Amino acid sequence: MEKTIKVSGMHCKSCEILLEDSISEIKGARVISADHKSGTIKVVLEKESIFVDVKKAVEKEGYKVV
Amino acid sequence: MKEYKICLNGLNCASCEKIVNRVAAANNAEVKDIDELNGIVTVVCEETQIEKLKNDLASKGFPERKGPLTARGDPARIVDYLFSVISGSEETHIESKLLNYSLATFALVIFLGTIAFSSAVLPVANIQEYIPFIFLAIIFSIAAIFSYNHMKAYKSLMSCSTGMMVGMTVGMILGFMGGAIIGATNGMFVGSIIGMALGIGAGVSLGRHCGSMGAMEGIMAGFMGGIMGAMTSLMLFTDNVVGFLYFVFAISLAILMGLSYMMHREAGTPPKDSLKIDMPMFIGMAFVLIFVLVLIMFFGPKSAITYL
Repeated sequence: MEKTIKVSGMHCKSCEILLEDSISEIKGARVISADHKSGTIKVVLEKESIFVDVKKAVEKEGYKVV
Repeated sequence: MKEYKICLNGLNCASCEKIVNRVAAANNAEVKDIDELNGIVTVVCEETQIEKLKNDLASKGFPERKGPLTARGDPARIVDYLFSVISGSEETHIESKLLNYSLATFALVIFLGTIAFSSAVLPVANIQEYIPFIFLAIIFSIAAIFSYNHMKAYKSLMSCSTGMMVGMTVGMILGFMGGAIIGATNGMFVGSIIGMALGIGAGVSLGRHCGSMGAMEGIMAGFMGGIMGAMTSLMLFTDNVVGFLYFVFAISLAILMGLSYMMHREAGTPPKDSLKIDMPMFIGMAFVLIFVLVLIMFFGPKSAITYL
C-alpha cells in the first residue's frame, strides 16, 4: 500500500536524504519520494502496521509526523 | 589507519552532519570532527577506504571541494572557485557553461549592434546618447538570464531559507538594474513599472517554490528594487548619471556573482541535467530581453523629466 506522510521540520535536501535512508532501513517499507518543500514523504508499505515503525524512525531523527 | 581532512561542499546543517556520520560508519571510518562552518570533515580510516568514502559522500550531495583546505571567508576560496569556473571544471560545470553562453551572447550582440549602428537604418536621431544605456541594457539582460537560470539549476538542492534569500536578492538586483536604465531614458513612471515587473517576475519565479513567503519576498524585493532603480537615476539627472550607473551596475554584478558563489558552496554540484537551457536558448532569451528594453527606450512613453 502507498501512503503519503506529512512531516514537519524538513527544510533541506539533507533532511530528505536522512529520512529516506532511515525509512529504507525498515523491513517492508520503501520510499518513493521525499520533498522538503511540501513536507511530504511517499512510501510503500507492505503492511499497514509498518507505519508505526516509519513514524518512530521519522521521530527518532528529530522530525514530527503530522 | 590514517587521519584525513576532507573539504566538502553542501555541508550546512545538523541533518548534513548525520548523513556524513552514517556514510562514514558504513565505510568503517571514524568521524573525528565535522567543521560545518568551514565545510571540513576530519576522519580516520584505512588508506584504501578514503576514495570510496569521498565517492559515497558525493553521491549523498557532498562532493569534495578541490583546492586548498581553507576556512570560510578566505579569499583563496573565491580565487579557487573563479579558477574552477574559468577552467571549466566538473565541479562548477553549471557556472562554466553559463559563463560561456554569456560571453558568446555578449560577443554576438556587440557584433550585431556594431553592424546596426554603422548602417544608415537608425530608429532615432539622437542614438549616440542612447549608447551607454543600450550597453547597460545588454549587460543587464545577460546578467539576468545568467542569474535566473543559474538559480533554477540549483532549485532542487536549495533549502527553503536559501530559496527565499535567492528570490529576494535576484528580485531586488534585477528590479534595480532594469528600473535604473528605463528610469533614465523614460522617466520615473515607466522606469518604476518596468523595474518592478522585471524584479517581481524574477523574484516570484525563483522564490515561489519555497512557498507563499518565498513568492512574497520576491514581490517585495522586486517592488523595492524597481522603484529604487528608477528613483536613483532620476535623482542623478543633473549629475553624472551614466558614470554612476556603471558604478552601481558593477556592484550589482558583484552581488549576483557572490550569490552564485554562495549557492555553489552551500548546495554543492547539481546533476548534469539541472541546467535547463542551452546556448541558442540563452542567446534567444537575452536577445528578446534586450530588444524589448531598447524598444521601450526608443518608443515607450516618456515622463516630462527624462535624462535623454
